[in-house]
Amino acid sequence: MIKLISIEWHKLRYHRFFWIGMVLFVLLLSALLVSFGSFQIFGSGAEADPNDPSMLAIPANLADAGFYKLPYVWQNTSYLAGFFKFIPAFLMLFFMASEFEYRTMRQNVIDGLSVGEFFFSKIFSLLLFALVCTLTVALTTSALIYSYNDLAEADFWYQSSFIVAFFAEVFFILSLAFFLGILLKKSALAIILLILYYFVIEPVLGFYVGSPISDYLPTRPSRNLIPEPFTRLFKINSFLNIENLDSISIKNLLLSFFYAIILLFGSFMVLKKRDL
Amino acid sequence: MQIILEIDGISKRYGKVQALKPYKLQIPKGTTFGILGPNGSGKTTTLGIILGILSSDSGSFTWFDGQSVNSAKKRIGALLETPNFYPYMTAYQNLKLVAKIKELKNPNIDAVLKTVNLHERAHHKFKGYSLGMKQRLAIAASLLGEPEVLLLDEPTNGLDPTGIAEVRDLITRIAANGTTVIIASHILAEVERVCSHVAVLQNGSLLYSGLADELSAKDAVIAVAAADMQALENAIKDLSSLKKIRPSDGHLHLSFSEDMSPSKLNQLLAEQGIYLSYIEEKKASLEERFLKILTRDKAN
Repeated sequence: MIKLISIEWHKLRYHRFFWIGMVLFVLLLSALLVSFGSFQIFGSGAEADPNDPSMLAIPANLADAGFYKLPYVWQNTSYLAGFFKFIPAFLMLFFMASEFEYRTMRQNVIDGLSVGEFFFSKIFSLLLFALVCTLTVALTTSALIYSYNDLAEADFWYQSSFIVAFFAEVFFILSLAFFLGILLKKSALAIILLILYYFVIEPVLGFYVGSPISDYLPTRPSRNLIPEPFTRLFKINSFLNIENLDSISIKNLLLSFFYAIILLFGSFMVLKKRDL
Repeated sequence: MQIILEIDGISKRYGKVQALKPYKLQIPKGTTFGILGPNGSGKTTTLGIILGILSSDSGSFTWFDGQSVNSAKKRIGALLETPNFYPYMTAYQNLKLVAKIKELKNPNIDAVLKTVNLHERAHHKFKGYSLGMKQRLAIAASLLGEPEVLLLDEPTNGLDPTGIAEVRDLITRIAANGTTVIIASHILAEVERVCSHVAVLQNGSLLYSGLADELSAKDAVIAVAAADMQALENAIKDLSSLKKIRPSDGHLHLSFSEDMSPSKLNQLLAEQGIYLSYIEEKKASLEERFLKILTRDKAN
């Protein structure tokens, strides 16, 4: 186990892409989360009209709107961070595919690593990426909670389960990248297919099959884990008839881990069956 | 004699092409074993199977005393086809990774880099290496941990003449230490110079396996010359056991259907009053035998 981690870490630590990708991810994400509150809102400063309930007060910026306020801050930040999950996913996919592009996995096996050992050493990368992402969001959010909330009157941990949801979301997309990297062996091709599948193929497919089947398509549970928080933030949810959840759906959480495990198991089978 | 590798009927089919037909082969410990064959003859397929990166359609193979392939590989240094390394790592970092995979406690990284003359470039990135340097790094990697078996596929690929001579010299030195060396090559000279045993593969079939000496000892050719070449030729044509006569470079190359030694030939000719100015026994080179085996197979 320690041997496999040491092998994989040796591969990562000398790679400039790994450091650039990770530093970029951590810096960009935390910078965005910290500065997001000062974003101006379109039409800000409008007063509420007591005679017309559809006229709402529009706060000056997102911080004023309560973006950093407990208990919803966990959901707000993890939802926003979800857009950044493609950075570690592309890194994962790139590292996976280059093991085939440079035929280094073949060399690893010639040198004495079994296919199973290779697989589990890569799982270390996957977990490392997922943990770095989750910790970045968790630590930044904690700092924001301390500076924007009075902890005497609000519970720090209430709704913090959204961090678990964020971990599951990242874990799923990393598993998908892992699988595509192994299956296609070419990073450029795999990145294109990942984007196409995530943003075009599955949404179109979902549209055709309709609800509730569409809720069970592979990427759906992970996408639905963290519902968008903005309708509630701007208090327009009641107009739009949107019911905002206060906690994560356990069903979606389990389903996204389930799909991730299926993808990883599939990756393992492809590796096992394939001649190197 | 201890058998280090036993191949028993491994085979491989790619679609319609039977890349390797089932065959048996034993490689004894401490030998320098050459696997000869033209491109596409099944050499690399054989090596891929015994290293566990290709699956075999049939048969089996046994390393050492029936150890699992993965643990056996830690005792084997292998270079298969092109050198594969992480381009962003230096030579030293790449070898360190190989040492981790092979679970070597005190890897002799500096020593093997010195052996292949790469020590001065040890801390340069692999992607900047020339083809010859890449090949030498691959040889260095195969030497890590002083393996009991060295398995080299076309080891002089991409090397310049000096490099080729160095690698041949290196292989001879390693073999002299008792390491079993298995070399696959389509270059006969490479195998002929260093190998004690030879197996010849063509179109996925094993055509010959045995001692390299036995392969080249048969069909010796005797080259002769005399002051009067015409008289010499006439006298030789009268010999009943003559099989073939061929003039070459002012000499006559003779082959005989039965045993004929230079001294016996010299005696026979002297009895007829012909005194030789030149006589040499030329053992058929492996190349001639090799081509003979290949053409014989085609004729069948």
